[in-house]
Amino acid sequence: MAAANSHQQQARDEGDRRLLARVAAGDREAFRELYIIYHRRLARFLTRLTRQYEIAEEVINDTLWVVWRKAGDFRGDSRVSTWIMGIAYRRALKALRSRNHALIDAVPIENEPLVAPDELGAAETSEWILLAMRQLPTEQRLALEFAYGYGHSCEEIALIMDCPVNTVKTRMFHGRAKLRALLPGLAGETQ
Amino acid sequence: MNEHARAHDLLAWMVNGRIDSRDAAWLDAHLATCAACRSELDAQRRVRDAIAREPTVEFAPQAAFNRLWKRIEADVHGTTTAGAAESHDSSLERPAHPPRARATPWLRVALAAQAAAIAVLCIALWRSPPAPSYQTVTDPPIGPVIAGPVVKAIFDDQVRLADVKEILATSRLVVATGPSEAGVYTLVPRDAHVADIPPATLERLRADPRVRFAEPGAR
Repeated sequence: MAAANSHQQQARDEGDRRLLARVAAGDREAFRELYIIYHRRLARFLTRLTRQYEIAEEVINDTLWVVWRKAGDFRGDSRVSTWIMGIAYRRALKALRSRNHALIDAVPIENEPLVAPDELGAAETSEWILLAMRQLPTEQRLALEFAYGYGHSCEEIALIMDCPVNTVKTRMFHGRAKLRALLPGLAGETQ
Repeated sequence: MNEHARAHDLLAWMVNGRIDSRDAAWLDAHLATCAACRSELDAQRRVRDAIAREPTVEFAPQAAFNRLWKRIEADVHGTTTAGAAESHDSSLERPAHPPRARATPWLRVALAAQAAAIAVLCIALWRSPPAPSYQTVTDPPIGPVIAGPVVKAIFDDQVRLADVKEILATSRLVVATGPSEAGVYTLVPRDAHVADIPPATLERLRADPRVRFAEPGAR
């Protein structure tokens, strides 16, 4: 399964690279194709990060505007998706800062469990997890989202978030630990 | 680092499919003997599924693309008069909005046309009955409201029609609407009396490499 996933992602990246090369040559249709492919992914990431539809919408176009202008500078050191998500991440932080939006660690960290271990019913599990995710410091939450939600590798997340690989590992470690503290029943029954 | 700590670190990459084969072999062997790490694997899968499940507002990519393309064209016109300072921008930074000087007459005409189109849309929405859930800007209301369970799905771009038919037949689903501009199909059970989408059906869809996205949703 992991190998199939990886193969699929590699095939997608090759498709992205071909499109990006055409974008670098000024091909509008290729840019439109790339735009449509990444729009959904960015919309999902940015609405969750900014929690504001208007900012997300603006950052999507800011990001792809940079992609259009810098396509020729892409050296292929990373996957195209890593490069684009990195731009989106930086653009989003900048957009939030310019609005004095106190996003980083805006949500107080709860130390008490959100829910008792035996209350984590199957139907509500996802809702509880998403609620708990919102309690995490932003950098930890984002590291987890890049990994679990978008299938990025540890090295790719380091590139996107512009930090050392070990920092990514530390953020994920603490993020998971906080999730476990908030949701003691998360691991459920072990077979 | 002890075995469990190493396993916990690796589990994330097993869950998201990015683990390399050597680590996967070690982790498989460890999981076979460690109930605590199997439990953690289960927890991390739940986190992954929760993140994938979170609904997002459906944007209208084509309309957004058109707006961006106008901005790009305005940039091209703008640099001929405003100089090439921006082309040396290596920090990927730029003003949040194009300079006002670039609001050329044709752009004002385009904005007026856009405003008119929005007004028409508003009237259309005002006349429509209340929508039961999200409706994309570009999707006109189609057919009757679908009651009961649905699956929102996106197929891989390379998938052939025959594949889609096979996926639908295996899952006992049919297409109710779609694709939306974002490429989303709304699938409903073939048998109208089915009250729920079986979890196994969703799991099969998600495991199918031809399906990029499959989530339960409300019509």
